[in-house]
Amino acid sequence: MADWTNDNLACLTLWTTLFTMKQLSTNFNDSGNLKMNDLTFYNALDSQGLIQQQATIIANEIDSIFRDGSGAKYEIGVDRTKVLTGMLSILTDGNKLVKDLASNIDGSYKFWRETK
Amino acid sequence: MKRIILLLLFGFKTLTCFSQQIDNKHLNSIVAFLQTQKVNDAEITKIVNRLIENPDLFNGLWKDFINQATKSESLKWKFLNDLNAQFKTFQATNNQPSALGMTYDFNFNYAKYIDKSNSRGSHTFGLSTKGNIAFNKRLNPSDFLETKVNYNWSQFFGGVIKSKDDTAIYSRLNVLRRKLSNIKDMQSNEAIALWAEFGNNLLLSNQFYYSIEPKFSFESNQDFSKTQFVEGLTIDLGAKAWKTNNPLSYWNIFDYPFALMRLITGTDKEFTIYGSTIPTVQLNFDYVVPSTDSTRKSLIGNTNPFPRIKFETSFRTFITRVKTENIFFNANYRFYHEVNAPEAIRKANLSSDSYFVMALQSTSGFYVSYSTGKLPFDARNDKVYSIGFNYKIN
Repeated sequence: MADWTNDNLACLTLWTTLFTMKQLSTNFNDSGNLKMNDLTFYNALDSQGLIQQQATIIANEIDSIFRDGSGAKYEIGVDRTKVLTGMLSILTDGNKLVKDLASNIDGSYKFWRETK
Repeated sequence: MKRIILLLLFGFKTLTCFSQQIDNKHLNSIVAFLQTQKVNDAEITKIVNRLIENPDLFNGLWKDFINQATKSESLKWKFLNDLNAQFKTFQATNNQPSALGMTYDFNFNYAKYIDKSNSRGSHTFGLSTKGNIAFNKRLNPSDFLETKVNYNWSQFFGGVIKSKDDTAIYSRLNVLRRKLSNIKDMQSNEAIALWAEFGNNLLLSNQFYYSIEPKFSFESNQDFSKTQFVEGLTIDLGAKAWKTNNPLSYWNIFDYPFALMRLITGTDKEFTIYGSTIPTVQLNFDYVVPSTDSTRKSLIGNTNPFPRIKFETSFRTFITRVKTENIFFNANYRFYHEVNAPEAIRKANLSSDSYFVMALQSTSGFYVSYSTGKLPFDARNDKVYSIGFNYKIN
């Protein structure tokens, strides 16, 4: 289980991104344990095909916000296929947590002024 | 057949120059040992045959081969990382003898991304194949071999406006993130002011999305005496207005009553239509294989595959938060239409089906739902709630 802390830029950037995208409305501390099916995009009434489509849109917008809007870069050895596949596997699993997504993202991106 | 596989595995090992003598040596030493024990040739043949019937022997050889091949610098064996093969003993029915065979599962995916100033495109290609084969064809298992090929072309337009003064903005966004993370009430004046500044630095734009995905699958039994080719096409269409109060969001008429509820409950301080919840659409053109549809068989006398169009759209939006519970409204609509349906199917009103379901749902699982219409026979497992009002407390 990943640590959900505001000392971690992956957690901070993911939280503000999901908030800005109206996927959640909770404060930072209350957001790490939200499940994917607590986010606005995840409609449990949808077929698997439509959940996959919604998750694809969300994953692409997160990637755009990170790289084009926030100055993040992929970690060495990471490419977009790996990033999007990793994000999609979490976004399409209703029981995964926001902090699980943050953990995945932390291993894929180097955020602006991030020191590891 | 198993001898051929064994020879191939030895051959692969020889070709790749990996420990090619080890297994020959083992077999030779077993035979030599048996000869010293004065076991006759017929008995030795039986013993060696029993040995090569053992799936563990093949699994060991296969594992050794994969380990050695994927360790090498050569790219020619890299595809083996995507191949899972396991040797097994099959028994097709209770009355038949068991037989050596293998189960295989191969998945290969390729993606290429094309980024332009205002769009992101991708080509992805996937090939997957899986099945079970007994080396004695009379003892093949009764399931089908399946090979699928799919291609996807998708494109996103918009989403984020890249800033010209990147350095200062990225640094400021990090400062704002940290300040916002220390605030408990996201509706406090301080939080609202900081989010407004955040939105002025992270410039989001309308996003449009489409994707086209043709699919082909080929199914056959192990000796190819029964085959089935199925093709399909999926088209996705989507639009999102990520920026608050963007004109595109005003077209999201489904969100108007919920924007009012958010205002009344204090969830939003202003009447705000969420452009992020604009419904998306998925269209499918598929061949349906109705092998277990007894109604269809009684009406037209067969269960041959038939072409069908499926349309699906959905809507979900946030209503309010009560203590630790988030309350959402969910809706989903599906329409199915059989292309050129036989007259008997049309007369029985089975050529088209539609299904609508909506639900109020909370974080802990409480929901109230209503559904109407019906799903076609093969999609009934997708039915989420029964007709009428339901409530469930977990």
